[in-house]
Amino acid sequence: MLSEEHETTSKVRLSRRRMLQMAAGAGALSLASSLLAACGGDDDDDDSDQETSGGDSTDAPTATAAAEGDEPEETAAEDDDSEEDADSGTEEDDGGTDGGEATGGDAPGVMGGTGRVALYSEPPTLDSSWTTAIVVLVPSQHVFEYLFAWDSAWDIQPCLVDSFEIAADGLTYTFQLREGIKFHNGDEMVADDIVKCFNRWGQLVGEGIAAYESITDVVAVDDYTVEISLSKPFSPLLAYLTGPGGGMMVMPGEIAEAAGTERLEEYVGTGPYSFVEHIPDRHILLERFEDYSPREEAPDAYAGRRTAYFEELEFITVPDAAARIAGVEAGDYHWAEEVTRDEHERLQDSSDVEALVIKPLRFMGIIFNKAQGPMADPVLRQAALYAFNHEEIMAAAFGPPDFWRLQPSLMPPESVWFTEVGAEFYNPYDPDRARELVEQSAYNGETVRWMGPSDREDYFAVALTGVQHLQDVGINAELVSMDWGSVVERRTNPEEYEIFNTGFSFNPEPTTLSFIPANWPGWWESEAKEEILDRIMTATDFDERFAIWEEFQQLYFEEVPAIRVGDFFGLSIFRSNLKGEALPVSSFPIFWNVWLED
Amino acid sequence: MLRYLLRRLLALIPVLILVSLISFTLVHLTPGDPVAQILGDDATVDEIERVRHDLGLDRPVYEQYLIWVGDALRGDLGQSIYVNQPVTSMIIERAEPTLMLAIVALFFTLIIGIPSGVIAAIKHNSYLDQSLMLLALLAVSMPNFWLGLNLILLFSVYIGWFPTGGYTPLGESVVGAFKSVMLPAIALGFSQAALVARMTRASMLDVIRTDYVRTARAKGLPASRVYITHALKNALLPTITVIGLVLTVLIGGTVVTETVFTIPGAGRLVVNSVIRRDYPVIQGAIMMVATAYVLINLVIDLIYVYVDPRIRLS
Amino acid sequence: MSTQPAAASSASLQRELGPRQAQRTGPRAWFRSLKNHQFAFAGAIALTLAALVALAAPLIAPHDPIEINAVDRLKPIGDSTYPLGTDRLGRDVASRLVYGSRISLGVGLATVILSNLLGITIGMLSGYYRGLDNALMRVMDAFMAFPGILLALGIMAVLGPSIINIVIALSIVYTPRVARVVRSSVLSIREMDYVEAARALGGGDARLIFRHILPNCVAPIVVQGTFIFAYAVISEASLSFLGVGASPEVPSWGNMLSEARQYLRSEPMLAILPGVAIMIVVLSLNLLGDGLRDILDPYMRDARGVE
Repeated sequence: MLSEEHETTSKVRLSRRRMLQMAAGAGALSLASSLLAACGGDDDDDDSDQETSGGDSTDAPTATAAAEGDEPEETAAEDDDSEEDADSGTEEDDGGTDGGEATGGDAPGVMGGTGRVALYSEPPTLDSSWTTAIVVLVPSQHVFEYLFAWDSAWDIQPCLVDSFEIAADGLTYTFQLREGIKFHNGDEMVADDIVKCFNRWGQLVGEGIAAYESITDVVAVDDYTVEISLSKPFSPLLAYLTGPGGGMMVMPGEIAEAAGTERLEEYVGTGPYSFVEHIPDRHILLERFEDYSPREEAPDAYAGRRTAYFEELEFITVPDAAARIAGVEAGDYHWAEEVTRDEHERLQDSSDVEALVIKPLRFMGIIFNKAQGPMADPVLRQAALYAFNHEEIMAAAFGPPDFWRLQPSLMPPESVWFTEVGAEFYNPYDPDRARELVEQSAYNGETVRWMGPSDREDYFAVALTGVQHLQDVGINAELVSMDWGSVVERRTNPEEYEIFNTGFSFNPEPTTLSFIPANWPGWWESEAKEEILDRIMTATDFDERFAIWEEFQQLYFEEVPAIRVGDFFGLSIFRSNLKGEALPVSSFPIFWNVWLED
Repeated sequence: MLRYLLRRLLALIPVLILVSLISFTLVHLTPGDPVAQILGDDATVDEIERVRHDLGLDRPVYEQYLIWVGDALRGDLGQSIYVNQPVTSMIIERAEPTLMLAIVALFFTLIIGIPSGVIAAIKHNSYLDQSLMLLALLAVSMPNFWLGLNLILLFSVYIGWFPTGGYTPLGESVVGAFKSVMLPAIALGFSQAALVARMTRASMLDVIRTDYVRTARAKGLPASRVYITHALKNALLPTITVIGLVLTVLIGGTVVTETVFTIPGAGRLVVNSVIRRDYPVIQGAIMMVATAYVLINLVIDLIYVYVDPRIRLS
Repeated sequence: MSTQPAAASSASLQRELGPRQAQRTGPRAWFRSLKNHQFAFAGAIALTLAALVALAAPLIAPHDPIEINAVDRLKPIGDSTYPLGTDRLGRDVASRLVYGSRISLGVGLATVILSNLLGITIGMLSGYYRGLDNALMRVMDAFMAFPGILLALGIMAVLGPSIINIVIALSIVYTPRVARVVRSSVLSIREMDYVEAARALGGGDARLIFRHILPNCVAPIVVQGTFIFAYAVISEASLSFLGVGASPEVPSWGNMLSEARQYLRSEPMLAILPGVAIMIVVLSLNLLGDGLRDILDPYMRDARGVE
């Protein structure tokens, strides 16, 4: 329980990286649309959006995405106050383009103070290009910015780019950079820095490596113009450059060059906060960057104007969920993620603390070792499917019913890929049928080892309950407990186990599900699967792809490579006097445009 | 005495070599891969291999050990795999909270332990004595992390006098530093105070029964003066020798207490590094803690020798 | 953390105190004097009760301590089916407490036995054969140079979470402490006249050790055994609390405490009950240990010192 390193990482990043590994060449895929569709929930299939040049993206969407992220207190009323309250040098609101939109950041904020954020695990670095660990991103995105940023509808908006053009043949991208952007070391950001950042990105980050299969050259035309030449069209390029969650971090060229594929030693970005110190297990300390030049558009999730209200931001690692709650209750921290779900009810009554349900957070999957051992027998896996009482497993692991849900689709209801095909095989709990199937299978009472992570209570409860269910139908299941670090290592070795379970992030693109590739732990080798994948990767039309995806889901229920038990949600809490929108979308919290009252 | 000291110091060398061997073996026998943990779940096999190679983790264990010993002798404990910082500076950063915690806990141990022991001895066999000693036993019998949890609940969450965890460095705020170690120090020092109380009581009783105290009493000197000037002074000698021991226990105790109170000290560094499989940090921190441990033990023994020179001969 | 017996202190103090008189007292006499020590007697009674609970656990426990009932999770105390409520997985707290006594007492007892077997052997060899002394004691010193909980933590990380591994880890931690106590007893005894006499009469080493030396080490071994027992119970809880103890489904008190930590605010009883159970057992052991020390070995009184 000391540390929680989460299974998958950023939804955005994972999807893009995996997707590319599998879909390389299938350039017609519209990543942005699938992202948008999955995360925003609305079926916007039009990928021309992302190709509009930044200058004329005037359609600043009003308000916010995920409902749970909303701050009740938000008002856009007293615009004039904000000027008075801005007592520091930050150019807070001069642009004033934000006429009447009711967006969070227009509310008057209070400058000053230290924002304290309790993280659930220690970030190994602030270099979110070097590691895929999600906990790195939360602090990192305050220091480093990207050429583009996601808005609340998961559309791409310019960030450090001022405007851009894509040639009609899709082989040349021209980025006009914003002028006068200062790095934290005082240097001005110029095109040459961006070129060097591209080089590092192309060597280090999965998306970058993939993009460089198409990119032939990145050059600085002048100080503020970057031109990218491609050998063949690559439509997800902009999405790949967009942050947070993947994206290309922008830093001074010499630093990018010096670091190469190694971990960054210096954290110099352009963000609203600059890096002060990282003392592992104590804190990561950032301070307001006084020379920050914010964009003028109204804030919209990660896009738009960023105002650093806090003097300092302190990210404190508090691995114990109870300590995170107690800390927020006592006022030691202003924000904490992943707290004990059972405390929700109690926390709702507190006037000092607000709670947000992050819905959905991940889904729970039970993975069978299909390479060897008893579970390689599909009939026995069928038996397991009938043995598991999904409801009981989810309740044991995730507590109150407001924190999980059962639903039959591989992709969540929020996604355009949601389908009920094969739903009759979802949660078909029937121990008698399971026993029959065990009889029919080749199973001879061999031990079925289930690796349960002893340091992650909720995941362990899944293993514990699942083992009980298997035993009930005559499968000789045995729980092997080990810590998460050992599970991650051992699951790559087919000798070590028959079953393990873990949580999976939601990815916009269905084919990026972790357990699909045959080389992922569990080793799902299936000709039928490969054939379906081939078709879905080359298909370009959404309806066509959707139909193939339905075939895929049917196959999943037949072959039972894994069992998707159900979706579960997360709980974040914050002090009631933390105002602004820290969680504009169900993703990483931001602490610009956020302030403390009183 | 000097020769004895030299002999004892020389004897530490094989001990520390063994300590380094034991910890290195343990560390490298532990299943799990540090690189898989830092790179996140999305990392490819190739990426993991590249970083493993960069870190020298693909070399044979004995080679890694020799490299480590060579560097350590030059004062370089290597780089943390997890956070990519020098192990030596990480340990130095961690020393302050741990020392603060241990010293404040020692302070509590003594100011609670000695007076209770004295009072119990003076009121020997009274109800006060009996209840103090029972309380002392109760204190030794509770897991101190449990006591810590209860203290957090009571004083931080309900009453709000102290932070729930974390540490404020002395350089930032002296008051803050003391506030942040107050509860953990009480949790840690409570059981030790009980033991010191028992110790003090016992030696006070021994002294009280000696002739010269009886004589002093018989001469009509006031009881309080006799006890404080005569008895306590003599009774404290064995108690003082216990301080070193208490200190070693407190250092060991910080491992759990720092975890309960999320104090970024040396103990928590080790626990976290074990979970992260951060080999160089575990190795370095264990060496430092073990060295401190054996040195404190050596000092204790030296004090004994000083008190009772006969021991040197054995 | 009270996790290690104070072998360092007691060993040092024994050195200081010099050879002890060999005591010749039968079990009946022990029992009689035990009765005179009210606290020790109370400890012995409480311990016997705990042992009975452990032995009769299946008869006493109202439910299966491992069975999960997700619908009945986090029931409060006084529930009609679950007298002491349920935990986060809907497991019956009363039953887990009852079965927990098996784990705690079992781990404690097994640790005492294993660490004594190893410790006595090493201590005897080291004390009796001076040639082995230096090497063995340096190795013991090296093990004792780790704070006990750290060493246990490291060993548990290697072995993985399980009850047996806890016993192994704690035994490795306590063996050197036992060995040092035994060695110093042997050192003092082997020079005594009657041992010399026995040797002069041509007694073999084995005979000397088992007939003459070992019986005279019994007192310190028994006393230290009760304390090791007590520390083992607390250490099991500490290891589980650090997340490296028994596998989480095992109904050990340490696991119960560790899980209860997340529910300190809403369900404080989940933390209080196992904490109190640990305290009762450890307190009984300490009372008993104190009493035994007074009875068996007056010179060791309060020499147990810290930890």
